[in-house]
Formats: sequence, C-alpha cells, structure tokens
Amino acid sequence: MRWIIVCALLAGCGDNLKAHPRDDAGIGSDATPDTPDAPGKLTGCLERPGLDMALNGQLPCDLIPPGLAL
Amino acid sequence: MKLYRLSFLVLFVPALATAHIGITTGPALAKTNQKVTFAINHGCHETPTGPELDTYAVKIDIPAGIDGTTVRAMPSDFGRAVITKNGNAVTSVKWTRPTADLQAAGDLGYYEITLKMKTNDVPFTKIPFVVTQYCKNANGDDVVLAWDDTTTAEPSPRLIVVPQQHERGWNKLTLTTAVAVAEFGDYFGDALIVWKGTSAYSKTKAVSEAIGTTPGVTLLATDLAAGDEIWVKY
Repeated sequence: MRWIIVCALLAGCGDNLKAHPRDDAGIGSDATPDTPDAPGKLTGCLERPGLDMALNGQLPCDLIPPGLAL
Repeated sequence: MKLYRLSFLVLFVPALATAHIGITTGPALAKTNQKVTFAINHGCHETPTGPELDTYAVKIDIPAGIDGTTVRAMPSDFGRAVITKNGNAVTSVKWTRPTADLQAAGDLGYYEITLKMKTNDVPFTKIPFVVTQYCKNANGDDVVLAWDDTTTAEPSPRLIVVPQQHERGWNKLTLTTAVAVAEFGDYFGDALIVWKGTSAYSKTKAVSEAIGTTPGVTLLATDLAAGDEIWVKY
C-alpha cells in the first residue's frame, strides 16, 4: 500500500499501475480501456505471445488496434 | 508574395521574399479553442544584398475555416492589436509598434504573435493565412510583404487541422474527407500508429519498419477516402 501511494505521486506511474486492456483480455480484469471506443479486447496479439518489436522486429501488442485479428 | 508599390501618401518599396512567416504551435484540433502562434522569422530585404529591415507591423487576415467570432488577439512585442470585424466575426488583426522601436537595419529580430481561435469542423485540412508584413527602409518608406500564395516560392503559413477526437490511446475515426498519402506525415505526425484494416502507417522509423515485417500487416501507402474507418493511437 505504501508503495502504491509513493508510486502514484510519480509522473507517469499511474500508467504503470493501470493494467492495459490488451494485457488483461480474457482474464477477468476490470481495467479501463484507453478510450471509450476501445473494446479492450485483443484477438490476434494474444494468440502470438512474445510478439515484440524490439525482440523480433514485429509490432508489439499495444500498437495493434482493439479487435484486430492478424 | 504580393508586392505593394506606390501609394499617394506612402512610398511602398518592393521587397524580396527572403522572410518567412510560419506557425510554431503545430496542428490544431478541429472545433477547439487554442492558441496559434505565428513566427516572424526575418525582416524584409529590398535587394538581395541589402540589409535586413526590421518589422514594425504585421496583419493577419482570418480565413475561411476559422470561426471568426472566437478570434482573440494577444498583446505582443508589437503592442496592442487593432481588430477589424464583420458583425461579430473578426476578419483581420493588425499589430503595429512605434517605428522608434525598430532595430537598425541588419540587426536581426525574431518575433512571435499569437491569436486564440477555434477552427470549424474541418479536420484533415490546411488553412492558409494571408499575413502582411511591414518594414521601413532607410528613407522611412514602407517595405511591404504579403504572404498570400501569389507565388509558390513563399506560400502563406498554413494551419494544419486534425480531428477533435485526439485522445491518448486508441481513437476510432470515420473520415469525412479524403487524406492523401503524401500528407500522412502532416496529419498523423504525432500518432504512434494509424490503421486501416490490416494496413498501418507510422511516421516513426522503427514502427514503420516493424509494420513491414509483421506477418499479416501491410504498409498503408495509399490515399484514404472519405468514409474510411481508421484507428489512430496517440
């Protein structure tokens, strides 16, 4: 709890505390989507764990729009 | 650039288009009140090798695409602005300072002037502003430059208008106008990525490269049409 309070005071820390909707799709998270339009559900990205631009030159999950199945 | 010449009362001397006036505040959100700052980067030249003349006045005409009733002028180095209106709509704003404040020819000055305004709902357009710059030569004659698209060499400064919906995160948009691929950088320059179907665009080099190497994804390299649905992440 103490860490959460300290962390919340730091700029940008709130983003880290808020789970990204993509990361939590299908596991019962109540995370809030970035915008009301975003359904907070990912199809293609979760089917390919490890997809990461830095590691394999492919787009990371958070740059793939909600609902797009690749 | 339009050159003003002789008038009955004041001698207007042709000036050369070495000066530039630009907009420094970046793209504007449609239908949103915001400040738009114009940069007076240079003074005026009468001849290619002549000294640069300091600016003593600037006039900005309010173009179509701007809600003239929302225009407000900030005081600046040029002092208080004089407003011209048509009904409640501002049609032009002119700032003028005493000529005694002018720097000597050759002394380089940089100035900024700012208007608060709201654009109409015209996303994915570029609104040209006619800006007229006034300098004085050694004889006290006016040297006047009009940045009005008369020549392509010195176009009017343009305000880039992007959609009002510009939230951090994902934005789903249905285009109301076409967007040429050549202008993606202007309209989506601050976006992390733009998607149409399984095609994507990003101005960021690393992301653009990843688009090309991600299976099932193609580079968005064709014009967008009115009615297209896109996802934009900022």
